[in-house]
Amino acid sequence: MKPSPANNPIPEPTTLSTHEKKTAMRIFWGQLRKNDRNSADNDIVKFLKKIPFFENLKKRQLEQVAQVIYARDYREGEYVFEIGQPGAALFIIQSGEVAIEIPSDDNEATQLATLTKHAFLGELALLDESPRSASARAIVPTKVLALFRKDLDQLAEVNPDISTPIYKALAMIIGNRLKATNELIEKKLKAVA
Amino acid sequence: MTEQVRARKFRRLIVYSLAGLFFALLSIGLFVGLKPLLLPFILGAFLAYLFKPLANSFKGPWAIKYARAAAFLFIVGSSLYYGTKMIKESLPTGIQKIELKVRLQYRFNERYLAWMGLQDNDKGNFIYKSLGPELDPFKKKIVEYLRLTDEERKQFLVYHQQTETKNKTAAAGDEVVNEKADRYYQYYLANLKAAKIDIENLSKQAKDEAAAKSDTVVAGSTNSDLPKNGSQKSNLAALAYTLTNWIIFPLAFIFILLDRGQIIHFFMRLIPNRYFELTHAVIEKVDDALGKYIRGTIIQCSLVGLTLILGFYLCGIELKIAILIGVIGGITNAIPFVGAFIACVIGAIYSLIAENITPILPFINENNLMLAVIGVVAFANLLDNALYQPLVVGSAVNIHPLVVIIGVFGGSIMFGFAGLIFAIPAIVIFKVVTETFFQGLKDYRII
Repeated sequence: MKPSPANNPIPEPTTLSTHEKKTAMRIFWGQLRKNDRNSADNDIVKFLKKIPFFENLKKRQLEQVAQVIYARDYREGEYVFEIGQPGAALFIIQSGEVAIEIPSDDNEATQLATLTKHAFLGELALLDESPRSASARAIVPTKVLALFRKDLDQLAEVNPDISTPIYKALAMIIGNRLKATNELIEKKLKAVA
Repeated sequence: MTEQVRARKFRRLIVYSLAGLFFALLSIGLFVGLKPLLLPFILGAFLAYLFKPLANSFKGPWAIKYARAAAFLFIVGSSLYYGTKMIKESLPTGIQKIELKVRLQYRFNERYLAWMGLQDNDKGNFIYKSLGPELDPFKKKIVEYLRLTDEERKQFLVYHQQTETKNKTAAAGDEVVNEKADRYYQYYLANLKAAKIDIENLSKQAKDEAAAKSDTVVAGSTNSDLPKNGSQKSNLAALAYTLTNWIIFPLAFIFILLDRGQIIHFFMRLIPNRYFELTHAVIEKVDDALGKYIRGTIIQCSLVGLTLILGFYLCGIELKIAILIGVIGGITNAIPFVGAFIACVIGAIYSLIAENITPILPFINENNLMLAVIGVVAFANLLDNALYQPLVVGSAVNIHPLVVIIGVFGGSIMFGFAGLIFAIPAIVIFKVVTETFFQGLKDYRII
């Protein structure tokens, strides 16, 4: 006797389209790498890729940089660093706003600039311990990433291929600033003349 | 300041104070409760700290980090195991300790008589005539210290009786052992003679005891009054106890060696923003200074140890003993002033009992061996001060000699031998941390 379809427990095999197969595979591998994808380090890696200092680094190298980076949260009005303090770290703004100020005698501060997401400050601390030339204060709740000179030096000893592009980018940034300052002085001198 | 901000500050103060108190109590509780785990943990962490720069200096796909850490653990573990084994085997146990006391007492008496010109019933030389009344009580005290107790005397005589019995049925290969045992017995008799104790009385007593014990003592073994079963059980229990505690050693070593800054990141999260940069700067400077000091001191101690080993070997001291005294001298060299003194005392004591030496330097013999040993220690100390210390350690961490002396004695009173060894490193750590911390507080305008 031929079994009726209702009594047959074996379901018909499902055929997946190429697109569905690809989606399934993506979900499968995505689940396997879920922890990795959601880790804070991975977020930092993605973020660092957008910063001029690190744009020439490969993902694997950025992961190593992310291991030595510190994430900090600052409340509104809290100082990231103050003028005259020895510089030890470069700070990168992940979110929020930071004001660069020079305090004056009457307890008021002259605001030089306001920095936002992706901006960096205190980069000269990566070279030496010279005192900060201005104060940096969070003007809204701000998240920053800090890279210390000592950690970069250690990276340079073990992995010069990571530190070299960072130092190169730092030299470029300082060079561009010098150029811009020279141009500004030139303009001012011309205006005076 | 608004009322809200003030209230928030007050709440923060309360929370931080309570949390601080809680962690302080927890730390004290853990310190007391887990005291047996402290030494293995500290040793594992310390060795990992030492090896970290070496471990981090390797790179490339061939050097997988876990395999690397395992290799380091293997090297450190085997060095520790074989080092401890060698030292343990070299140290006298049971009857050897008693023999050592007999030899020391005999040789000390002999040397004293020779130095003071008191041999063959002489009235003594110039030194004895000048300093005799002062030196005699001192000598008596040393002899008194080295004299065998009643129990030790019985054990020694029982052992001698057994050796004599074996001697009658021994093969030719045992000749040296028997010859040595005979010689030590002669020393013992000479010591007794010197101390005017009735030899015959004691020998008779010992013979009776040896006869009584002959049924229970296993042939060929040295005398042991411990029941075999109990000894095995206690050994097993001790082994289990040691293993349980020391399991923390490889774990601490591997995890700290493999750590890529996670531990420090965790603690840095607890630091308020105001002290964040300062804390990292202080840690960095302390790490730098301590790393240089500890690694430098270890290299310096190794060089001093090697110099001592070479010097003692040239003087004709048996290589195994030269290594043992050299290792002890090298380790104790970490203690300024006291280290050289300890090496000198151990070397001098050994030179007292050394017999049949074969020196490579022709002018050294049994009579002037002690002077040669003192000379080697002085030379090693000179090399250390003039060459090793300036080259390897530098003057990064200078401590006042008075602090060193007080630290060493204070450490030994409080923690015994461990305190003696670790007092100076602990003072160095304290000095570097406080100096750097207060300098940092000033630099960052916190105080």
